[in-house]
Amino acid sequence: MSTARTDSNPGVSVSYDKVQKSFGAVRVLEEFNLDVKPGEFLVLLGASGSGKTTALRILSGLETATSGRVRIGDRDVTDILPKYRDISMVFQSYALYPHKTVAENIGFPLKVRGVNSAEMDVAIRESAAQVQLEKLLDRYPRELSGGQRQRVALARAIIRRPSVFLMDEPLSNLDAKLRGHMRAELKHMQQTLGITTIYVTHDQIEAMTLAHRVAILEKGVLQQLAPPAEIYNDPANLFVAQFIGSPPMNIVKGALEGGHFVTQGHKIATPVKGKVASAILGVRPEDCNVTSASKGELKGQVYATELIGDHTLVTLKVNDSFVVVKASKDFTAKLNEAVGVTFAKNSIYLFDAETGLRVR
Amino acid sequence: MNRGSSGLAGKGWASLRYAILVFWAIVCVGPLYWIATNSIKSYGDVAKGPRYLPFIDFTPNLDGWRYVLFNERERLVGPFFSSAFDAVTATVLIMLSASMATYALTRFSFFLPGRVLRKFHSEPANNLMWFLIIASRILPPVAILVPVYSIAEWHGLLDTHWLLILIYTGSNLPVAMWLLWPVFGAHASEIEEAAWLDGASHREILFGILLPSILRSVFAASFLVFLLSWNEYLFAQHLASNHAMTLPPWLVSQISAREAQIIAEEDEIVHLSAAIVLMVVPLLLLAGGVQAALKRTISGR
Repeated sequence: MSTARTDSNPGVSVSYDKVQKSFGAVRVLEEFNLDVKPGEFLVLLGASGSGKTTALRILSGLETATSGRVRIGDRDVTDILPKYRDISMVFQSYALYPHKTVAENIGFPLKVRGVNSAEMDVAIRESAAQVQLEKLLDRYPRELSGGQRQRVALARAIIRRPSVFLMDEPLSNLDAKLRGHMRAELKHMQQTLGITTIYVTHDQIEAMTLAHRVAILEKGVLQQLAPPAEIYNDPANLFVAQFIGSPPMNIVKGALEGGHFVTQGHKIATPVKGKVASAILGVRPEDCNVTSASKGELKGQVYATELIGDHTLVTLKVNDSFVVVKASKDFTAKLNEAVGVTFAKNSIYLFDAETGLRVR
Repeated sequence: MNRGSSGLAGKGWASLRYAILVFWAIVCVGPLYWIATNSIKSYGDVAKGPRYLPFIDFTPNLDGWRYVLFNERERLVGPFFSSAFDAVTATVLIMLSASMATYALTRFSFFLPGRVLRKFHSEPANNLMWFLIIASRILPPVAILVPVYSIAEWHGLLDTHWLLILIYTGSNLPVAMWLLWPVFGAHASEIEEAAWLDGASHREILFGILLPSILRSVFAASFLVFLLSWNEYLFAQHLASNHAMTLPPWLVSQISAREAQIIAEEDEIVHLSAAIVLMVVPLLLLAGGVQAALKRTISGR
């Protein structure tokens, strides 16, 4: 890797200040506040329609906020044209210029800024080298594989040494194997360059593996902003708890009555006191174990077992709902066999069914 | 194709389809072939009824071509170059303005001016503008012939190339916009957004990114508006019939020559046939050339 231009970038901060966005009568982003630290890799995670892409596009300048301010570093960029914001963006479709060669694609941001061709050549080679594209500079995008196109898009984004990288689902058009590889490369590149990165995805694995912090959005509202481990271990509400984790967290409806969670035929000791008439108990499949019918916090029947490879997913019918347990790979059970489910007291999450908020 | 032939009566259906296609091809190409053969018949052979196969039905004869290319030469060269100049210039002007106008109307929102008008229509008025632009083509050309004549006369533009170029540009601009509209899409693509973020201006995005990526459609639209200008008769006949005469009025003047009893009817058919071939050949060459050029360059949308 060339070091001539990789002078360590101190990174800049980014902040959203009460940003709102409506399309006609439809609110897509509700009073969105977010502070991104210099050099941070921040992931905006959410389902489609959650407002994550809109938030990114407002920062890029492709979309204007209905109200609120956006800052990059100490500059208010709310009313500034995209090209003066010192950002570069990688699109889901890669958005390569089909009639330009790889070199012309990578060099385009410099060309439109009037950089002379000798200087541009050097920069193109450096950027291409950073993503291992040196041998493909004369090719056209249609002659490249998906992964190579992705690299061209990255090289075009890094050639300008922007203050902020914006990435809109950059890996979702790649096949699963390549996605894992590119994920590692992206993380490495971001750490090497130290450029503040805001990355939009619907894929929780990408969010967990890449991010310094994850911001989870739903229906235009920021649900939680925290490092990946905290998002997983300490979800702020039911939405986050169910969104993160695969298979998703098990849910049982009931009532919380002074240290016990009560539901049809079950009374489970909880780490939380308090009284909630309509409560939800959550427990992750990986925190559960299948045991004999006489023991266990929950009792049910085996509904299905699925061998995944390194583990077996056991689906149990408990009252009217299903509970999934992640068991060892050599787990076996008969269909409809009565079993119990055990889990540690401290692996229980409790939520208020009305608000969805955690009961602590 | 594959979807259809996997149906019940796959084979019968396919042959019926080919039969229809062959029939239609004959309907389209037949007259052209007939005219081409007529242009190489002797005056006598034309009068002897339908004959289609050269060397078998009749002996090819170049009298008609000799007449058109040599006897008529002085009267032909002028109209030929007039047609070429007018159509090429109009096509360039049309494609320039049509691409810019379509870009503006699909990428930006335009609102009605003034508070009063805005009260009636506060939404973007782009669709209204599209409607007005396309609607300008609805008026029959004959209806505006007289006013255009008067205006041209006032400005001393009668019988000039610039008058015809102006008319062709104005009347075919909506056609080109109509053709480009669906290809441009209703809003900017991610590729254009990428260019915008990379720092390109709208001019650079339109001419450097968008148009090169839809070359195929741009050439198709150019060819169509070229053809419309090249073949235009009404305005050319009435507004530029002498100095700036183009090929279509010249073609018709061949008929007048017979009416004035300068030549016989058989001669006229041969001469007209040769002249029509002369008018069609440049279009065919152009179409072929564009196809070949597109094959060599990158494939567009």
